[in-house]
Formats: sequence, structure tokens, C-alpha cells
Amino acid sequence: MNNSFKFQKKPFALVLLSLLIFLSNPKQSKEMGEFVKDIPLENLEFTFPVIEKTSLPREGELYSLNSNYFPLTELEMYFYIGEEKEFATEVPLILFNVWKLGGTKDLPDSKFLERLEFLGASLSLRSGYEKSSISLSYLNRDEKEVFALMKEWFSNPRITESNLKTIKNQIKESILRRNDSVPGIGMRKSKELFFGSRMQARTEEIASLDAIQVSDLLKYHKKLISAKKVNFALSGSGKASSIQAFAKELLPSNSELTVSSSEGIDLDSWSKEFQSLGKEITLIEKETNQSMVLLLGTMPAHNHPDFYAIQLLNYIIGGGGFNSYFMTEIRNNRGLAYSSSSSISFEKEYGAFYAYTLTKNESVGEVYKLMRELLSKDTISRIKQSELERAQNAIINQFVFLFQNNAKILSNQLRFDDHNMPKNYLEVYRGNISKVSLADLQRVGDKYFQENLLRTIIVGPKALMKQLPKEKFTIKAPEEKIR
Amino acid sequence: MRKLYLFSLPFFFIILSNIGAESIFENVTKQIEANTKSYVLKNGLRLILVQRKESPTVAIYTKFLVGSVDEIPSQSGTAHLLEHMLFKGTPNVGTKDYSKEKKYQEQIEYWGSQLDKLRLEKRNLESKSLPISDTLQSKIDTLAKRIKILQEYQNEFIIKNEDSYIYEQNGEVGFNAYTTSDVTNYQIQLPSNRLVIWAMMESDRLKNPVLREYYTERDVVIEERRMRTENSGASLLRERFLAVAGESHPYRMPVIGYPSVIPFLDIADTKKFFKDHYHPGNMVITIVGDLEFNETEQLVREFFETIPQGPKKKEIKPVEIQSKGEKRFTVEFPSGESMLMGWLKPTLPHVDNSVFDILDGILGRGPSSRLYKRLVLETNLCSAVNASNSFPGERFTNYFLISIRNNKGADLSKIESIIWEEIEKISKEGVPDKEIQKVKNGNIADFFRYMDSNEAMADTFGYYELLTGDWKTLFRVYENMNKVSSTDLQRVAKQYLKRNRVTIGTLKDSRLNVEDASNE
Repeated sequence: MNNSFKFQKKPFALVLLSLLIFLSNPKQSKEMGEFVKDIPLENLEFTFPVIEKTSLPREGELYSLNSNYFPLTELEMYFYIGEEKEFATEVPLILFNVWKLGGTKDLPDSKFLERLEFLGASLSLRSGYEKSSISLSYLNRDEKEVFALMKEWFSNPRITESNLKTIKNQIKESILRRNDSVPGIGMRKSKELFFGSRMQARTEEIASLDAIQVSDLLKYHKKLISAKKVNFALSGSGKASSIQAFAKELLPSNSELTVSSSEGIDLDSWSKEFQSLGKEITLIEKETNQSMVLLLGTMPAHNHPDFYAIQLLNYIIGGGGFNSYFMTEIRNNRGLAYSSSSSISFEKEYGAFYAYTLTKNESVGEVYKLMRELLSKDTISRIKQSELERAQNAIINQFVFLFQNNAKILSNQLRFDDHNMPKNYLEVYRGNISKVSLADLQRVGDKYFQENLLRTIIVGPKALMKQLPKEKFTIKAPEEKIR
Repeated sequence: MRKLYLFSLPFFFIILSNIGAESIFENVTKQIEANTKSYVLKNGLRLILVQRKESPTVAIYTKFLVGSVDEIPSQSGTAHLLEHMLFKGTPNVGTKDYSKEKKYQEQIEYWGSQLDKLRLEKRNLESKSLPISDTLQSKIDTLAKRIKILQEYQNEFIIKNEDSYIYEQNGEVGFNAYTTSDVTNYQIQLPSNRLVIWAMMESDRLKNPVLREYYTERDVVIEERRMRTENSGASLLRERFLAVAGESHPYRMPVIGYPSVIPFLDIADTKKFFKDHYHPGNMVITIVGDLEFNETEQLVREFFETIPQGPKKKEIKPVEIQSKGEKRFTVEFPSGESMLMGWLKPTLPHVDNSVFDILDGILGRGPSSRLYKRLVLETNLCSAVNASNSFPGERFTNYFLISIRNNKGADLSKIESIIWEEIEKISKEGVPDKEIQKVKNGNIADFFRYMDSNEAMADTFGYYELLTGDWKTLFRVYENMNKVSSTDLQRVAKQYLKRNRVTIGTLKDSRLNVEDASNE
């Protein structure tokens, strides 16, 4: 090390340092972003991709966007059947696995998947709250065979006892392992706190798993394939005309069509219900050396006028990556976490706010207080116009990335349509973001982000309660219901 | 007639599809090659440009041939910490006035290093149960306070995350980095009219990084280790596997670093590590997206060609001696159980490496693979099975790995014996051509799926250029894979996957020990 620093070892070093600070007032120095401030930039040429929409049998539509880069077709099929309360929670998940594993009459069990794999095709199924989806990807040259396989598999499922047993074992094992991960527990318990006994919070349970029979799966399968509304999204280099023809064969007219039966969420009563929960911290007991602190709150639906202001406020506080308050204060300034952020899941009928930090057990108290402070009325009231403009610029300039990938463009559009967003939602999005004022931020801050509106979950060991002596706790085991 | 048609239809298609996907692959690679240009700058920096005008955006991946394999144990985690530190700015970015800030940075570096020495002294005494003198503790406390004050002074000048701010204002997506055993990568996606911003920022970062907030960021890495490794049984098992399987192998160094070393990583060593490894001869930039070749080449030359060529270092790495005799170990952790079996094998471009690329598909990739069928579907012993080639990297000899997640209460010895049965079946009988073709076709289709994004292309092309000196090696890998025959699979299984060459690691649920004890 350079010898010139040795003088600093003497006791008056700090006095000297103070003098140096005084003499070198940083306030008159350069501004943020100055290094690239005057770089001339060319205009970005951008046109909105035009999604082709054509009608499908029943009440469906085919959304398509082509790209000829690879000889692949990517097809997403969305079946809108809703909650289907008459079935146990586990039924959709089990069906999708058993169905896939069962294959067809000609290609039973693993022979079916073997054939798809031989063709380089891939098939996956996902069950969701409003809609369930089947994703199919294949090489264009194999389209005819893939369609033939799919038609047979789709309408004549092989749901067997032995595959049911295998899948039950797999799901049982995943239930046994779901408390291995701290963030996994945190997210599962957050849903429970938000939704109580509603479908959105329900997870697989070993007890109800055992009771499920082949007949339940067949009944659910029938409901699914008879969905009244089935939308397709086609990307890659497949042709819309052949997908339309395929849809006609896959979805024949049916007198007993399943109409989506979601009960829905009434935002006002749901929010009130959430607010009526006690303000004590729910501690999910887990032996670990790194705990998770979660603050949760209710938000309005996607198409609510406050959406844009909430997006911006969330960006500034915790959603804006390294520049957010959370990352700057919790990670950057204090080194208390690797990961700290917030996000909002905007849905058709409601929104849910999640703020979280993973931190060592010893700093849970400090992090909890910091997170609340960063979400407080006081912090929000001090947001400057320059910070708002910064968030607006960032979101507006990132907008083009919504159109980077055809599959993503289509799934976004389907989501916007499901959420009843205005037809010109994307066209006016940037304008609406720019219109948000500081007063709007304060208003939505007061309305949705206030400390007393948020509820807390901490996943970690019981001992950390000592760090927050003034707080009340409810202690639960990971498998105990919290609502 | 109709019945006959239905009957013959699948047969017809089966014959058609038995033709491999190789010809399609060739057409696609020709198209990619036609849209790609590569350059070597005067200082040795390699640049790959791929024109792909699907959206007005670009993905930029900058890779350096440096990872945990380039560390020594007392610097374990340096490559990764350095990756974090390079986001802390330069004399131009991250400061209100570096000429005034600099002295505090230098003081913090100096005193921070002194404090670490004292803390190490304390740790050594504690480990021997020796008393900590008041003088030592007082020196530690004084220095810690001094550093805190210096940090407060320096903070007056620091513009936090200014690089993130600049990129964010220019519409970035995915501004991030990662470190592996082999390489360190910096990535960003930008609207295509903002390439010049990237060129200014990144060339500046390479020319003169300032490792601000070093000690705070070291704490962040300790949190990252807790999150990624210490709270995950599977991660601990993999870390331990590399330490046990490779007694002298460069891959035994954990990327995130040893927990006993990270809190003492020295800033001077980290700066030296930067100088040794971050230079044009050791790096590749890949830009994929809406770009013009000439313009982009000129831009990169303008900003990066003046960076001095770095030292060409003599690389001496220990070569793992393959001792005969199996190795076994157990990791106890409160989580679901699993098992790893791994064998040392050659890396690319060795011809046997391509054989392993097929073997992993035959044994453990997808629900129709042999081990999945036996262990998950037929015996219900496991809930997940996977086989993977080239763990954890490809710069040096690496491991062929089979990993399983056993169901609660499943007999591990039975699982192991089924795995051996399947391996020995391949070495004795080979594999039917149709099964091999299935894996080849699947690999090619997966290649198309994966490559259908600017980011994946930039990441993969840059990786192959850096490791092998030619990004098109990626295509050769697939070509070699397509040549693999049943005889190759037999030979490789016989030669490498032997019982006396295996390392087996088991993750045992520590909660079960407690249950057992309480039942006794």
C-alpha cells in the first residue's frame, strides 16, 4: 500500500478528513447520468406488431403472429373452465400428468411421449385459476403426425390406475418437499393470507390426494375438452389456416359445453376482509439461517384508473431493480440482503402487492422496520418530481421489449383481453404513464400503500421475535393454515 | 378403404419421421451463419455480430474467460465478488467528483485491509480457544469506526447505482451478470438506438473500474451464499460433490466462495485479479438483434480497440488423477433427500464428449428416458431423474452426472442397483438406432426452441467463441452428436461409467435422524 497514507494512522486523521470534506463540497459537482448526457441518439423506428385474430369453433379465437426464423410451430391452447368447485384441488394437476403419461390406444403409456420426443415435439399442460393451458411445440415438417397424435390423445384419454398411482406418489413427494425452501413457504403462505379458503389459495394436500379416483379425472377431462371458450395462440412459423382446421377437429360442436364458472372476487369486500385480519405478524416457523420478510397488501384490478400511478410508485419503491428504494437502502447501503424487491400481480378483478426481503436471521428486525419505513406515508410524501420522471422514462423506454418475442406478445394480448383492458391499451400505455403526477403518487400511496393496510409474514426461526419486542406474533407451522 | 387409410397413416408418418432432423438443422445453421459476422480487434478482443431484425432491440453479452477455476483457495469467491464490484462505477460513473472522492476510496481500501488482518487474527485465536486481548479488540473497534466514518464521507460523493440509472433511463432490460466455474458474463438488452450508450459505459468500466463500497458488497455476497447454497440441500450436495470427486481439480472451487474466506477477501487481491483476467485477449462481445454490421463494428472498435492488450498468462492447472476406487459421501440437511452419481470424463471438443451428449438423453432426459421409466414409472422409487453431461463446466475435464430425487422411504441401494443395471445394459447391448435418433431429434428441436431469442444466441455464441476460439463450434457439437452410434455409446459406457470410478453423494434428511432418535 502507498506510503502516503501512513499519516492517517495518527489520531488527528479524522479531523483532517472533516476538513477535506468541507473543502470539497460535492454539491457543486456533476449530476446523475452526466457521463452520457449529450450523446445524440437516432430515433427508434417501431411499429406495433399486428396480431391476426380469427375465429375458432365454439367461442374461441386464434391469435397469431408469424416468424420464419426457425422451422418450429409454437401453439398455446387455453381452456376457460374456471374454478370447478365440485372437484378436489388436486384433480386438474393429477389429470394433466396422468393424461400425458397415459398416451393413446395405439401408443399407450410411454410410447406416446416417446413418439413425440422422437419427433422433437414437446407437450406441456398447466392448470390455472381461470384457464388451463396445453402447450404444443413441434417441427413444421411433422405437423400432420403431431395433429393426428394430438387428436387421438385429446379425445380418447388413457387414464389408468397405475399412472394415477405414480402421479399421486410424485405429488405426495412434492408436498413433502414444499417446505424445504424459505421463499417457497413465503409465497404459498402469502396466497393463503390473501385468499383464505378461496380457490386462489388452495394447494395440494396429501389427505385429499388419496381420495381421487380415475372417474374424477375422466369427469374433469370431459369438462375441460368441452370448454365453451378455447383460445389458441400461434407463434413460430406455423400456418394459421392449418391450426384453424386442427381446432375444428379438436373442438367439435358439443351440446354440453362447459361455461367458465369462476365465482370471482369482489374487490371491495375482499379488501375489507383482508384489512380485518389482525395486524400481528404471522411467523411461519422454520429453522434456517436466512429468513424472509414479506409485506402484503391489496390493490385494485388491472383495468382500474389507478393502475398507472401504482405501477410507477411500485417501481420507485421496490419494483425498479437496483434503483428502487428497497435495493438501494437494504442491499446497497447496508448489505443486509442479496434480494429485496416488490411486485404487483394485477388480475382481472383485483391486484396483490408483495414486498419481500431475504436476510440473515440477525437482521430481520432491522429489515422489517426498514421495509415499513420505505413503504410509509412519510417516505412516499418525499418522492421528488425528478424521481417520478425517472421512473416514467424507464418504463416508457422499456416499452419496446413488450414486443420482442411473438409468443410473449400473444400471451400478453390474451391476458389484456381476459382482463377487459381497453382495445387501445398498449397504444395509450406510454401516454398514460407520462400523465401520472406527483399528486397521483401521493394519492395512491395513501389509498393502497399505507402501513396500516399492509400485513406481514415472516418465515424464520422463533428466536427472531426477540428483535421485534413491540410487535405481536402469531406462530404457525408451515403446514398449518394461517387463515 | 377409410379403415385402411387410418391404419396406414401412422405407418407412413413413422417412416417419414425416421429421417433425422439433421437436414433441417443444416439449413437453419446456414441461415444463422449468413446473418453473423465475427471480428478480431487489434488488441485481441473478439466481436460477434448477429443480425436479427425481429424487434428494434439488441442483446449484448460480454464474456471473460475467468471463473472460480482461476482462483486459489485463499481467494475463493473472488471472481464472483469482482463481478458484483464491477457494477460500482468508474471515475466517470458513480461519483459526483472522483478527484475529491478518490482519497476516501483509497483510505477505505487501506484501512479495510488492515481491519481484515485484525479480524483474521481474532478468528484464529477464537478457533484455538485462546483469549482475545483488549488491545486487539480495541484496535478492531477503532478501525471499524474509522472505516464507517470514511464511508460516510465517501457517500457524500457516491452516486449510487449510477450505471443502472443510466441504462434504466435508456430502456434497458436484464442488466445483469453471472459467474460460473469457467466464465464471467455481463449482459444487457437495449433498444437498438442505444448501442452507443452501452459502448461508452462498458469501455469505461473496463478501462478504470473503481471498487466502491467493497465491504458492504462483500456482505451482500455472504447473503447470496446463504440464499443459494446454505439454505438448499441440493446446492450443498453439488458443492460437496465437486470437492469430493475432484481432489485437485479446478472445479472443486465453489463459484460463490468458501464461507470462511468470503468475509476476508482482500480488495488489493480483487483488483489484481481484475488486471490479470479482464483484458481484450480474454474476452468476447456478442451483439444480437437489430443492428447494421459496419456501423456496429466501427462503434465497438472506436470504444474498445484502445484498451491495452493484457498479459498472456501461463495457465498451469492441476489435472485430476483418476484414482481407482469409488468415493461416497453424505450431506445431512433438513430437506427432501436426493442422490448424485458422477464420473470424470473428457470435455469438448473430445469426440467422447458428444457421445455423452446423447447418453444423457438415453438415460435420464425426459419421461421416456430409461432411468425415468425404471425409477419413476415402474418402481415408484423416485419422483425425479436427470442425467447431464459436462457438470459443472467445459474448460476442463468434467463430470457426467446422474441425479435422482428419491421418494420418502425409498431404498437407495435399490435405486443405485437399477442405475448400474441400465448403464451396464448399454455397455453390453448398445442402444437401438431408433432410440438414438429420438435423442438426436429432440436435441435439435430443443436447440431451435432455445435459440429463438436474442439473449440465448448472444449467450451461447459468445460462450463457444470464448471456450473454443470459434463460435461455430456450437454447430460442430451438434454435427458430432449426430454421428454418434450405438457402438460409441457402448464404448463410452464401458470406458468411463465404471463402478471403481464413480463418486456417489447422498443428501440425507437430518430431520429423520431426530425422528429416529426420538423413537428409540
